[in-house]
Amino acid sequence: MNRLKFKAPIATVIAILAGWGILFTYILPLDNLRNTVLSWVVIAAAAALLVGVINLLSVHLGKLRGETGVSLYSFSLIFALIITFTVTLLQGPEKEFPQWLFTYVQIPIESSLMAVMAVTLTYAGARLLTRRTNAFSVIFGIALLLALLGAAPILSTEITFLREITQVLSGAGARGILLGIGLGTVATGLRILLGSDRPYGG
Amino acid sequence: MSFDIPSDSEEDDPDWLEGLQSGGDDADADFSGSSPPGEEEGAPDWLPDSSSEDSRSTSQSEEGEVPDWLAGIREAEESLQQSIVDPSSKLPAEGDSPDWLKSIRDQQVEETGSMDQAGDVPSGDFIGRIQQLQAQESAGGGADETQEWASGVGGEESPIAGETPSWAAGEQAEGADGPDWMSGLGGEEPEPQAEAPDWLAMLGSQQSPEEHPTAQISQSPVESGEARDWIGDIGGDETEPQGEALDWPGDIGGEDTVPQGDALDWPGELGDQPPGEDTSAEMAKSRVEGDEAPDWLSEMVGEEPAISPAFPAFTAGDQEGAAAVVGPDLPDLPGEPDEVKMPSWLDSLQESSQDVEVPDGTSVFDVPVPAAFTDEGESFLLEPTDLPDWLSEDVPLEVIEEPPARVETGDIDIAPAELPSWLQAMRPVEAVSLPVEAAVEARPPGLEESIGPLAGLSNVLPAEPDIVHFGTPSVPITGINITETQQNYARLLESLVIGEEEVHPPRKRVVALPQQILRWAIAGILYAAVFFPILLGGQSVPLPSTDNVIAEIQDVAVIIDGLPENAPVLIAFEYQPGLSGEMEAAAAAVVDHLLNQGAHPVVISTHPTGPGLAENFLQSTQSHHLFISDRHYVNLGYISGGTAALLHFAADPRAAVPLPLEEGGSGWDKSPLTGINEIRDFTMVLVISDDPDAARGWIEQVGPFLVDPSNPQSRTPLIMVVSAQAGPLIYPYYLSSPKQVDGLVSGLSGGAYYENTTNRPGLARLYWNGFSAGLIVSIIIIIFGGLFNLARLFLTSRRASRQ
Repeated sequence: MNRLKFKAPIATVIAILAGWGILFTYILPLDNLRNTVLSWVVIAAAAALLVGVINLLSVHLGKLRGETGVSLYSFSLIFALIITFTVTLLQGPEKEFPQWLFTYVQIPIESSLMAVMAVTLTYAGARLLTRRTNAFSVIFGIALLLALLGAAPILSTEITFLREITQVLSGAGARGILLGIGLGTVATGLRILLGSDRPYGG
Repeated sequence: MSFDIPSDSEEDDPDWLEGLQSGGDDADADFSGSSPPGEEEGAPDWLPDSSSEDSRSTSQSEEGEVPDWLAGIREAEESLQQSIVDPSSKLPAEGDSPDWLKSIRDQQVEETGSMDQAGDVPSGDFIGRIQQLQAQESAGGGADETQEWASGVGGEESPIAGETPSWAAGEQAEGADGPDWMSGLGGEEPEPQAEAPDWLAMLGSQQSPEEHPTAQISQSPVESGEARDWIGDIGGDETEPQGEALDWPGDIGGEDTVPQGDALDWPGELGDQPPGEDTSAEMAKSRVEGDEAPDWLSEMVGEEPAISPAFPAFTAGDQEGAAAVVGPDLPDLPGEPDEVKMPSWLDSLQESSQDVEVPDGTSVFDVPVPAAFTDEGESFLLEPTDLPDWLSEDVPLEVIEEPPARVETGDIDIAPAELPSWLQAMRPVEAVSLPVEAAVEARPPGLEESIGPLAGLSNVLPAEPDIVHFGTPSVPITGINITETQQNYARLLESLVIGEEEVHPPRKRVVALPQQILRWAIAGILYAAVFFPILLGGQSVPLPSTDNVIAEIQDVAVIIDGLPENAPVLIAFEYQPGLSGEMEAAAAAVVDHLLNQGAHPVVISTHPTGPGLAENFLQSTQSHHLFISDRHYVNLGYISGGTAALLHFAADPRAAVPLPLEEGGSGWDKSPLTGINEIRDFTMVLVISDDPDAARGWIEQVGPFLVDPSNPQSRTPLIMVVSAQAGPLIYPYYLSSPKQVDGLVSGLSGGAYYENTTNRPGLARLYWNGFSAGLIVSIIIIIFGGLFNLARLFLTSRRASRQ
């Protein structure tokens, strides 16, 4: 806690100075400075990704040494990580074996998880009125059905007006969301620039 | 020198006084000059008789019951003062002065004859007289005479009850009751005594002025030869050897048989008188205190009877020590050492001490007993009957073995105090105090403590259990009284704290069996509805009709149709491997159309899995194109940083993605990247994304760089192929003005529509039958599930309303 207290003011000062600097690069002809800073960000992001991978490895190694015994999932993860990292590091991502691992291991696994989600969503839709029976639940169910009916032709019959309704309704909702996102982004940026928000432990 | 001691012996004198009076040894005779030795009848003359004391007490009642002898001394002093003031004034008449004083005067008269030879001595200067005597002695006699008087004081005769000491008896020799000066103290007629010192004469004289001791002193200076006589008379027995020169303290102390403890009983005996007669000492004391009596007399009389029996100093054994204590500082007393005789009163005291039982044993005080205070044959102690009661009691000098008397508190009514609430709360709980209480109960009631500071007390809490108890107590010791509720709270808090430190394994979600069956059923139906059409390869379900114009999709086709040949097209693969099935089905037709147009794809991604997905997509869906199969496309790889990386790439692609070649140079200098300096140098930008945020990033960060600043109307088209979940969020960018997205293909249906539009059947056509069946089954399941739940809810509420 003492270290955090010591670092927090410095981190906050750096964040504020960097934000104001990048903002000024848009106002002043300082494109080169902006590009230089952005190049630093790219490198730092890559390093952060590597640190995240190492942290993941350490966590699962700790689980292997834990009191609850050897975890099969942690062992599989560590094994796969080591193999993939080693092969890709030695051959490159475009080579055959790394590509084979990616094509026949990673993609099928993730695709399968996504496919199960389809069943889960269907089951949840069927039990929608069981958990919470109110008007909003009914409206949600009706909207869901309309969206599904307008997404594809039903028995070779395409219901185009449903597609247009859903598209208009969804477009309206999306616009509101996008406006909220934009306003929130501006507010968050101003808070960081002004020092009101200190997400770096300050 | 003689002392006139009044001899009023009509009243009953205490025995010891009688002993003193009856003492008539030679010393007393010499001392008194007239009183025969051996007289041991009656009280000493210097101590008044009871009758005379009563008369005097009545007469002196106004003086606060001053003893007679003291009264006599006062009167003598008054007369002396009057004589001093007015020498012509006569001293109190003979009838007015006390008898003892008269006797002293008579003695003094006789003495002055000898004392005149020594020269005139101022009246009242008895110290001077003593010095004169010393001078005479030194000229005439030995130094041993200094001890003679002391030994003479001891004498051979032991004072017994009712008898006066020898020296005192010698003083009473003139009178019938012992030395005159002593008889004078007792109110008797003074008896002529040959050798009575002046200072004694002062004390006892109540005779006529001419018999007043001061007058006598002034009139008759003490002769050196006879000056020592009184001291020798005080010494008593003349036959005492030098070794016993200082026996008088021992005589005072008593006989050999007299233990150390009661060696000096005579002071107590002085006070131990019958009630009616026990005033002489007090009277003498009061006289001493009131008047200016000599110190030795005041010390003799002033000593309270409260002298403890354990008076240590004088025993009957150590005569030499006594001799040493006394020392040779005493003035030369008249008479040979052997001739010095103990006063009769001392003898009487010694005789009386013979009968006194003194316990054996060590003295309380470890003091060497002078030899003079020990006497083998004589005792100076008074008889036990003369001693005060408290002195005569035999108090054993023993260590008190028995405990002190128990304090009885039964009669004392002590009400229990009312403890305040806060103090009661601090009371230990019974569980803690049980051991102590049990120990207390185990002890017999009323048991007295035998050791320690509480010895003798009963009902004392036992200390042993608490002291000798080692180890952890069986019952936890708490200093405060905790209720059960508080204990529960404490346990709860402890469990919470411990729970924070423990690592709990994830709990397996337990689903009820009907729900599990329903899940399996829904999954089976969906999988069957989707897989069977794909496996069967049926294409009965028609693709979306192109009669229904979907503008965003048609714009994509239009843009791609307008691309020149060998145009570099930037394709960004921004989706996850999980949604690769939908995205590949949606984007295959578009990329195929691009490749058919002769465009050179340049692949890039801001996701770590992007380059791999790009390779997989191109090899699986576009491998029929020779450009792809020969790998004539450029894969720029992965750029980290998310949105920042997009901005960096959009601002300077070459800097964001350097392409160093092994043979040297940069890949940006080779086809199709030749001439690509900025992002707007690309012919088209195609973004394939399943995430609306990624798509927005491309739109918001890269889109501004696609506009030519010199010609705002010229702009590099930006096309997006998104999943069905991101389509609604990207569609507003297509509908904006100016358009930020030039074309949009959304989901599998969009891809199917694009395939139908471009008449390029692809994955969409392959997945369309299964997609349609699965979609219908999902709709049916949702409808039926909703209806079922509504019906059940309705029935439940109706049943509840009926009940």
